[in-house]
Amino acid sequence: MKNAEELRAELAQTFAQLKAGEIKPSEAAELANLAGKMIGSAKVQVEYYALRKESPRIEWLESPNV
Amino acid sequence: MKACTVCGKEKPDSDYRLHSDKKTVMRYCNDCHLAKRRAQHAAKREERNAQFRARYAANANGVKDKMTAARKAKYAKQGRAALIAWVAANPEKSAEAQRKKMKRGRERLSDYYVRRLLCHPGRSAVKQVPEILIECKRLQLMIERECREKR
Repeated sequence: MKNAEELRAELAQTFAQLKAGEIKPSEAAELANLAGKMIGSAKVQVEYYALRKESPRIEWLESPNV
Repeated sequence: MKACTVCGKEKPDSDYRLHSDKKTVMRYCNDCHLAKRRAQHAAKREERNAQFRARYAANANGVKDKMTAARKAKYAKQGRAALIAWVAANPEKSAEAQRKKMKRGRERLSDYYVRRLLCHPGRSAVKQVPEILIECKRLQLMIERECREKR
């Protein structure tokens, strides 16, 4: 998961698998927990730049297709 | 001058409503007529309100769209200042509306709710949360909820 797009795709796939009963809730919960850490980290980065009144590109949030 | 058949007071013709033929005046005065209409409405208040709510929910004759457009037009005309003044004048109603909005957002995982979870407008300097971050957070919450349900 090199960027947010990939994380979103992974989460969407996990949710679909969880709904279909293909994976255990505990496995999905682990991934959701990890995703929460990644999102939190990105949020801190966004907040940091907002406090510094800067707006640089955050690579992790940028889509590689753009 | 004419005596009202309900209150019995002598009143000029201008105090009486016209019949649908627009020529003859009614037998009861305007005040008594309005009192009668108010009593009729009060007796059927709940029924009529329920009918209107059903029509609104079904968007019959575009009533919902019309009211939304009217609300938007009013907001555009009066601006945000009027809204802020209303919130200041009605703190309880405003808090109740906010509670309802947050409850709806929590159930539907709306953009507003997820954005607020990520960066609370009162506690964070971030003005624009990236859309992709909101989508990821929403999916994470959806998975967590599903896990809780399945356990």
